[in-house]
Amino acid sequence: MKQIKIIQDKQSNQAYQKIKLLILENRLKPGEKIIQYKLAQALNISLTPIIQALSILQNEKLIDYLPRKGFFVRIISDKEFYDLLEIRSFLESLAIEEISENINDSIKAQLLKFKKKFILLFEKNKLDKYFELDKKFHYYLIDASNNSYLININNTFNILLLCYTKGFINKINISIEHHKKIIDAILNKEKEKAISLMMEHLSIEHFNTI
Amino acid sequence: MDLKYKHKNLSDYAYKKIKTLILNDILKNGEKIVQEKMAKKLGISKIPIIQALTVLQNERLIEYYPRRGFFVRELTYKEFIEILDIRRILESLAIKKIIENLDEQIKSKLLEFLDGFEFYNKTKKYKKYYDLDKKFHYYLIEASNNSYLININNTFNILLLCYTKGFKTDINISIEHHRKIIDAILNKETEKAINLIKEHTEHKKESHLIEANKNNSR
Repeated sequence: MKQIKIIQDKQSNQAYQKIKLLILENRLKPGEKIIQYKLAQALNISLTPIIQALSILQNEKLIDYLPRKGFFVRIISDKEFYDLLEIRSFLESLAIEEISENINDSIKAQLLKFKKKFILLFEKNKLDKYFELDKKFHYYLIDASNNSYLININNTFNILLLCYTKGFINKINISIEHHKKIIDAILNKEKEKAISLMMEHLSIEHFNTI
Repeated sequence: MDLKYKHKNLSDYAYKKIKTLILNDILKNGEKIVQEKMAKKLGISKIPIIQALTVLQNERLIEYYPRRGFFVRELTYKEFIEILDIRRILESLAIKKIIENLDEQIKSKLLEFLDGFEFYNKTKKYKKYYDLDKKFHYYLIEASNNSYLININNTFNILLLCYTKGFKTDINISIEHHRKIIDAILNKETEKAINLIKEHTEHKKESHLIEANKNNSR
């Protein structure tokens, strides 16, 4: 039987959010041991909610627990990363399909905003900010799909999140071209084109694994 | 330790039992699930029943209303369409993977399915036909060898919900679709197979809409 996510209280929820962010931002690195009392100190949260949060993250497969050894940031194998990217590309294709079919002024405005920001950050060569925006863009597509199952699947399996902890497109000039073309195709309601561009964008050859 | 183990087993047992009752439509949409009765029926205590109901609530098969209790949840039309879209995406990826990994074993398994479909259609064994239909679609997901694909299908009951909460496709259309899909896979025509899967699920959307309208106008 599947375990249920029960976030007991405010403190463990806070710990959960903070630790998840540390993993997502790669400040806790894959394979790194998580020392509970140090983390408790660093986050200024007591030990029990830290352990609760770690257990939830273990359930989400972001963390491994090895008996008598402790908690570690889980290392995602290459095969698993490949599986993840594949499922991600199909899920995001569905998102694009739904967005192209239901596009409205608020989505249009949001997409144009993303495009403008991507170009700006690219021209100013602000890599960190660019890749932060990249994440936001892909999350936005899933959320804007308005398919509750799609959103739930992404959250339950941390599909996007795990992809970002393991690999990324480090060639910003490729990434920006893809993003611009995808956004244009959606805005022009070229559904099929937008889908194949996204498939290309998320194909393994563009990714560098960490 | 021993106690805990047994305990987990009991809620697991209750989970499987209640889920089967819902998916076989023995517990009907909107029906209240009375914990005491269920506990008595399954011969276990209330606690594992409540644990199982909570998991099923998480899977969106059950709803909980404070002070009123647990009820079998009815899928909305929008949700059903969402599930069909997800199913199409999952099966498209499955087909892509199967074509990539196509070997003699997969080939003979697919041909075996095709023979089965033809046989049950000819002999008018429709129940057996639809059982095999379900097995075929599960096989596609399993044979994809993508662990996430399999997990997503199981966690969100995607295929199961399509089969139990949806309407059956006309057998003549169904067998035609299956024949074409299997042919396209065997010929390694990925695009074509994916388009056929799309047609197969779009057809289900339409028949669902027709049925839903019928029920509304009644």
